[in-house]
Amino acid sequence: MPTAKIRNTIRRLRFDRDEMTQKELADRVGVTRQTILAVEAGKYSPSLELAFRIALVFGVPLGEVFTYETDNE
Amino acid sequence: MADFRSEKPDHGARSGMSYEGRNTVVALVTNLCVVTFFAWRLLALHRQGAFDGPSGLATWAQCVLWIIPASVGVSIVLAVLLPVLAALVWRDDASSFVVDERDKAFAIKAMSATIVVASAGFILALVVLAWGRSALLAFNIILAAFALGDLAGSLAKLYFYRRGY
Repeated sequence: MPTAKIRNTIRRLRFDRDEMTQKELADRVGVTRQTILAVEAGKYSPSLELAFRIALVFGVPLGEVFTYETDNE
Repeated sequence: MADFRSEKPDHGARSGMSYEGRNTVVALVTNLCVVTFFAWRLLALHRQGAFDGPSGLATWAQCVLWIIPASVGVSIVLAVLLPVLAALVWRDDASSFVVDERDKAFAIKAMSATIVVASAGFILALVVLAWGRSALLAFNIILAAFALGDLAGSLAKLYFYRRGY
C-alpha cells in the first residue's frame, strides 16, 4: 500500500488573509495555537469537523485547504 | 516582496506550551512530590515495624486509605491554582484555556502507557504471590505500579506535547 500524506495550504491562505496569525485562526476555529501549528506543519491530521471549520474561516472548499497525496502523485 | 513562507512573529502567543501542556508538567511535578512523600512515609512506618504481625495488612490499608484522598486533594488544589498562576505569569486570556481534540488525542494515547505499567505491576504482584511471598509485598507492588503508571502517563503526554503531534 503506498504511503500517503495530507498536505495543506493554511500558511498561504493565512498570508492571503492579510497575514492572519495562527492565534487568530485558532481562536476562530476553537482550538489552541499549538494545534494550528501542528496541522499547518503537516504533523497532525485534524478531525473532519476541524478541517471544515478551517475551510469555513477562509471561505474556500475543503479541497482547497487539504489535499490527500500518495507517493505515486 | 513578501513571501508567504516567512512567518511574522505571532504576538498572540506568549508561551510555547498550551494550557494542557502546562497542566501536564504540573501533574508530573505534583505526582513526583506526592509519590516521593508517601513512599518515604510508608518506608518509615515499615522500618518502625508498623506493618508487622497479623494486623500489619490492616494498618497498611488504613495508611493507603489516607494517602489516596490526600494525593487527590493536593492534585485538585494545584489544578485549581495553575490557571491563576498561568494567567498571572503569561497574562493569558480566556482563549488560552482551550482544551481541543489534539489534547484529547494525547490524553488517550498517554492512558495506554498508564494501563500498560499498572497492568505489568498487577501481573508482577500475582507472580510474587504465586512464589509464596507476602500479600503485603504484592499490595505494595500494585500501589507502586499505579503510581508509576500515572507517572508514565504524564511522561508520555509530556513527550507528545514536546514532539507536537
